[in-house]
Amino acid sequence: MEKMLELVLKKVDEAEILSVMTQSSLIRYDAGKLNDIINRDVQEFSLRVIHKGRLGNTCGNSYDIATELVDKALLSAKYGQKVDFHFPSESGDTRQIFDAEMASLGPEELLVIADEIIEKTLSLAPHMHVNLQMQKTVKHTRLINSNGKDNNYQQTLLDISVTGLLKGSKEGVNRCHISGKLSPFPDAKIKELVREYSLIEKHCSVPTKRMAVMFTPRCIWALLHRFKEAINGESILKGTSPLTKKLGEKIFPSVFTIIDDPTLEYFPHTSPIDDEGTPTKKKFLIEEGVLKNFLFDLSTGSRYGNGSSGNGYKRGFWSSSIDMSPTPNTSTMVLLPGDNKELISGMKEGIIADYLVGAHSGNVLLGDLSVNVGIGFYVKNGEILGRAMDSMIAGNIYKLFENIQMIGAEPELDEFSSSYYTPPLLFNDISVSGKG
Amino acid sequence: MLQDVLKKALSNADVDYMDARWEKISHSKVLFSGRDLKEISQSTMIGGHIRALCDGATGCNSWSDMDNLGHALGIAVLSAKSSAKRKKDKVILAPVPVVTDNVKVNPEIDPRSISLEEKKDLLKEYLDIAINVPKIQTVNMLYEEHASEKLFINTEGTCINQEQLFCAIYGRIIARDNGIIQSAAIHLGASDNYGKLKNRHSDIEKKLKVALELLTAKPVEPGIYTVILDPGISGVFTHEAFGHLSEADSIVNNQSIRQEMRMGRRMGPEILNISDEGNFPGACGHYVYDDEGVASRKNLLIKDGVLVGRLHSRASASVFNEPVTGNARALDYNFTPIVRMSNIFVERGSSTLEEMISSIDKGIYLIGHRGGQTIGDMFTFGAQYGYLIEKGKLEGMVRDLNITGNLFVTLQNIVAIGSDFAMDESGGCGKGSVGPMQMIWASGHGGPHLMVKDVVIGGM
Repeated sequence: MEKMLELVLKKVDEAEILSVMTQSSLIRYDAGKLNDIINRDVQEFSLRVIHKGRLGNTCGNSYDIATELVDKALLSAKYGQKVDFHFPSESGDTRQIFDAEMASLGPEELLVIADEIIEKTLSLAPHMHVNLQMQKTVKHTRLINSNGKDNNYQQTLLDISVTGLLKGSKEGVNRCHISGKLSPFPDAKIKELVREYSLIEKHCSVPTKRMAVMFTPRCIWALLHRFKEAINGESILKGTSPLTKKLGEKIFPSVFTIIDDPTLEYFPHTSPIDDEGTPTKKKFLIEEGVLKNFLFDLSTGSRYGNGSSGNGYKRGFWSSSIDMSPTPNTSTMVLLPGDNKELISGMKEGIIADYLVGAHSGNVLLGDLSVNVGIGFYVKNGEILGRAMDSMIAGNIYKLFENIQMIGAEPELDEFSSSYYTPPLLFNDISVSGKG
Repeated sequence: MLQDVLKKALSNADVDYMDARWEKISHSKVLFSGRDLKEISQSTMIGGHIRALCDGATGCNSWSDMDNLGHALGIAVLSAKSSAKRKKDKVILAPVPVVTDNVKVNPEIDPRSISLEEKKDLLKEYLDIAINVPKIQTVNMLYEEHASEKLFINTEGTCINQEQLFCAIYGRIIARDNGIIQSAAIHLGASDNYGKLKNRHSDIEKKLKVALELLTAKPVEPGIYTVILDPGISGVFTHEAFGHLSEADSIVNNQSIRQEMRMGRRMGPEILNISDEGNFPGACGHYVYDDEGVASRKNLLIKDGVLVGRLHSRASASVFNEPVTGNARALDYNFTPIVRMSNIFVERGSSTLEEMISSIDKGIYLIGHRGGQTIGDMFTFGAQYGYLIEKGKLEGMVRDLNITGNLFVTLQNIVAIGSDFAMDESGGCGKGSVGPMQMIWASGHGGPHLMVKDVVIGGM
């Protein structure tokens, strides 16, 4: 790695190498039956250079072809984006993200953990079609650059997801447990799953009208994703975000505080530095309803004038990979909980949205939302009557947030991207259309 | 030689079966966001994947350091043995012929012979067609190229060297007027031939016209219509609504879907025939051997309206006791193969587009796809734009077209099939239901025009 840096610095002004070694094991159970175990032990790196004010990049995974890759980076920099930043030199703070006990787990130990969860679930719901997916990851990241930076960190993660599959469907009710520190899958989550599975058998048609909607932590990302796109430095610079000129203004009711928190212990998106080597820091995005910060990577930050906010990640909506260019993103987006332990009992009529279909489409940047409720429940007089069928929710998040009625007390991490840590939210008077 | 090193390692392993892939993947990318050249890069990744089968259980491992072969192999075997103790349904691989082959691509113009500069200049030419036009807010243009050289060997004696190549241009023209934003998507090529990307200026001009026309198009009145799907959207419909349920691995343990997808079941009218064809040179999802070393072929899935086939890996074929089809595919060495479509389409029928249009009293002609999603037998997907059909004539352009429905009902509602045929120049598909999400570029779809009655069209 150092040798390649030396090699490339003979030809360019600045250079950066990000190296990621990933060891992972994935175990899957389909209908309670064990499938194959899929392991991965792969090293990858990206090389970025700045030469004559232009950015070039390439990636690879073999230092044996270092010369070839250096030439590719040079060619890329010949035409690459003009940039006005330098690779950062300051180091990031240490974060609590590595658990040696978890790192040492082999396939046999992982299978024992999985077996236990399946057994517990089936003992409560013998007829459930249980799918379990469990992935253990140990990741070793190192970032060096020509400005003297050398950051090294290791991270562990165990991601367990249990699904009760619906009849005739590939989807179902789901609970997950994601942590960098070894801890048992909470019994409470298994009980919730079993309860929901029993309720979902009964189908309810939903009338078309305005009613209460509760979003569970498993789907709130669909709302917050729209906000995240609007505070992305790229949309701010282009002027395409509705929030471009709203810094310091109140855009949500004061009950909302949203934080970008890269310090949470053992969270998947906690790290000392972002993917460009900028130290990460905890910051308010929304403080009591007021818009406080945008998200910048090196490129957008230098153009905006403030520099990077430590939010340059090689992570997009669908995937993250070493060969993506860094773009502004959050670490973990935290919506601070309220004190409402019980949200459903007060609902006169409404739906609980748990899984949304089409959450990524529509005019995301403007905050528009038009989604099918893939998995949801119909509630009347504080009681869940059954699965909400064929219902759609439409609105705009900036208007929708005005209708907040209750913020739940218990936050959970979403499974889709593992980067939204939120309590459930109950809104009033949302436009719902159904066939009932 | 690499081949001999792998062969030796495999033959010494204490397993019932083992296979290994080793591949070198080169990826080129040129991306314009508006006038800014955001990225122009090439990367090279090298790595492999091992599958071990012991006592009816599979263990897999991806690795990138050939010096670590012994260790990598050990992890795969250990995983297989750990799971064998618990495995209730033993994995059995359906028998397939032993193959030795060396497959080279032979496109009319090989994208690897064209410099990155030339690719950038071509993209810029296309960008310039639209970017200075009034009411055009911005244009994005992306060139993607994937080239792989892959070695596959297994303990049965199969040894295949195979090249695969893919290049495409994707773009979006975004128009804006009085607060209304509309866009038209561009998909070019999606094959091994760079020649399909050249001299496409008139296609870009057409898309520019569409983007501008959409600004004044009326949002569709939600309701139930007879619709005509153009080949672009009929391909996505076939892929999303029907194709995914044909992938055996994702339904193997799902008794209710298996019951719905039983052989011999009537799925549609007698005029309906659906095939998946991997050995389809020039199509986006073309390959000669899958990632289990099985030759690709044409698989008939629906014949005269009746379900007659399904897509398989060796393992799923033996569970269903059906023929192996050559559809076990992995995106790259980071993944283990899963069952995937290659090129799926409805076979040609006998109607002309004019006949279809003139037979409709009130309907919509839907053109171009805009993403889709399925949950089991329910599907939803968007069309780029459409034209109203009134009293047998095409009328004004409409937008905001989303189609939802139930697969089994909608297939039954196909009333006419076009005598034309085109593969869509996009392809690509994400599937993660049987493992980590694998986006794959080489998945093609297309077909003739289709006319379907009683389709639910929702607005935005």
